[in-house]
Amino acid sequence: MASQPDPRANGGEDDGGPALDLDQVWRSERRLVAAVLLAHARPEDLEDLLQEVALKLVANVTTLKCRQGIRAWLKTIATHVALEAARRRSARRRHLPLDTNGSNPDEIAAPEDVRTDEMQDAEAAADQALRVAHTLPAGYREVLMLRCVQGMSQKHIAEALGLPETTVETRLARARRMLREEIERRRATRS
Amino acid sequence: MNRFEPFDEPNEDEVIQRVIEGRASEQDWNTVEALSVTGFHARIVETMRAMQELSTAVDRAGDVAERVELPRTRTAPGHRSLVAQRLVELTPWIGWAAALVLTCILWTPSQDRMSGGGLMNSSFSQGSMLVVPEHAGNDDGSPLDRVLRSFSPAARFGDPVAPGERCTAGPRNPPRLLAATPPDLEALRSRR
Repeated sequence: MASQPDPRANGGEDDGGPALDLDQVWRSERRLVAAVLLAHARPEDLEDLLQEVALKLVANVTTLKCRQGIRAWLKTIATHVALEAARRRSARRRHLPLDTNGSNPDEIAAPEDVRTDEMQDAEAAADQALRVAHTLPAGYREVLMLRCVQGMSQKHIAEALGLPETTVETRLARARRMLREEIERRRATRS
Repeated sequence: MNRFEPFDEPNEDEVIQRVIEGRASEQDWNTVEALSVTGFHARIVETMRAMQELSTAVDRAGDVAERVELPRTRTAPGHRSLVAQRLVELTPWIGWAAALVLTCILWTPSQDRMSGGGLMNSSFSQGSMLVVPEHAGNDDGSPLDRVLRSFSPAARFGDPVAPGERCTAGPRNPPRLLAATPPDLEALRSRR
């Protein structure tokens, strides 16, 4: 059975302990928040959603007692914010017609670019990988995105997602295979 | 068929994972060698490339995040003042505190209020009318009597007001005047 985290294990930031340095927390965790948002939302909405999570962090600071659980809290909030945005977009899409060219404006679009061919290829490949990642089941997608954040070990991911490390290990292994197979399939279809 | 069904040989995913993350054991490398004829090396390379591409996308998102700072508010944390925090904690008791203050005002002896300022000052100075009930003056020490005594000028000077009598009172309208002899109405009429 997983043991409950001890709030005092992190420098005594307990009731009556020193207040959380929110700026520091945000600076160290915002890349994780961005990855979680990216797993559930469109890249174009990322900045707005990050602002929304930042606001929620400031507004709820009194309920946050220690640094220990803040990663999981931020992950939950980021997921909620992203899903809420998706719901709003979905509701809006029901009322809006398609573009004149028949495309859906909410599809993840490849950005128009004027950079070198090599850079454009890398960017296009990254966009495609992201699009493919978005087709994976949510549980696998989150693990995969978080593993791409610098410094996020499987232990950290398990902590943020509230999962056992073995589960994270298994999901990550499968998610990598899914990603590879789907990218290969799309390349094969294109060529 | 679902493309995302788990592998028939689940070990292959995990071996690739350990190789990519630099945690491969001797046994893992033996597996890699054994599976090389099936294109296992290529699958490892493709997996690494896919992860690298996805990492580029996640890094871009991280760069966006680096530009987002916490909003500056007066109630920002760690920045919220101690007084503000205490006020928030006391919020549930504000109603009770208000009721207590009101009760104290109502039951405090009115000497000070009658002599200067206070809640009653404005209405009394306008010459408000009081009707003294019949049992006024029978000071039995009840709360009602204490209140009436504080309002009634006659009671204040130990001079009971007749039942049903009306009087005006206030700091600018001394009760002593009420005890003056009523004007001689006949004399006033004859002056006309």
